[in-house]
Amino acid sequence: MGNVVIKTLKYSIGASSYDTVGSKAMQVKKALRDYFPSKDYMRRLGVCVFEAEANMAIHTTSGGELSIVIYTNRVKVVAVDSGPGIRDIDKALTPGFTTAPEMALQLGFGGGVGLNNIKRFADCFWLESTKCGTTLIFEVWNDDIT
Amino acid sequence: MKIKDICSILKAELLQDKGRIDVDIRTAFAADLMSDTLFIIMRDEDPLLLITGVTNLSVVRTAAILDIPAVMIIRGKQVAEEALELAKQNEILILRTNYIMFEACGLLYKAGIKAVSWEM
Repeated sequence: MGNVVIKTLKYSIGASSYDTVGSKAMQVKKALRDYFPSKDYMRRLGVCVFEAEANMAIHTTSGGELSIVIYTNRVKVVAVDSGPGIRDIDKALTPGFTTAPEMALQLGFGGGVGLNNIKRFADCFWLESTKCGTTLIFEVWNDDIT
Repeated sequence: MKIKDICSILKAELLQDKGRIDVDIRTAFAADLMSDTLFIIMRDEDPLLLITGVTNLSVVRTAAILDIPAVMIIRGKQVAEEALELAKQNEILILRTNYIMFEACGLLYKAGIKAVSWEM
């Protein structure tokens, strides 16, 4: 039952689209409210999508694609971009380490906690990055639904 | 603590009043980095006030994702009309005080508002 895909949502995130950061996360939250009534679950998922969206807007050269796959008991998020890639993943996962430009910081983003935050809230976390691009996959499970 | 009492303590004005106007605020978090705000571990039973000098759309989106019912803008900063409109759509109260962050936090802490659970 848990492996049944209910719906898939796809979003394009533009490079340097600082002014729209968080808008896709809000759309996801609204679209999924009827499937997952738990507010705690939707907060965890919302924060993870928000951070993935912010990372693409701040750090990519050509933007990327965000896929949200909704199962009956969990949501899988796949974030794919075409570069420039994360030079040192261990550093990128260290809270406070940031390579964000000044513009992002002025808007309140790029504090160096995004990936770490996703890892903290997600139940599965997978990250691969080369200079050709980055693929981030994570799942947030709703344990109230079996 | 009721919103009207918070407004009284911080001599604040209510810029956007559509939302949970009778909410009983128990905890607060203060930051100008929304990235740090997304680290909050929010509990439904402890409604939160976000205190910030950020006034763009991102602060409203952050509040919406975290189910934060009220945002206190500090240092008397101007809030864009589109941010207030987005707050209205999402029923997030927007307040504004002329106090700096340090004083705003100190006054609310002294009045009994506690720090929200937060860990890196």
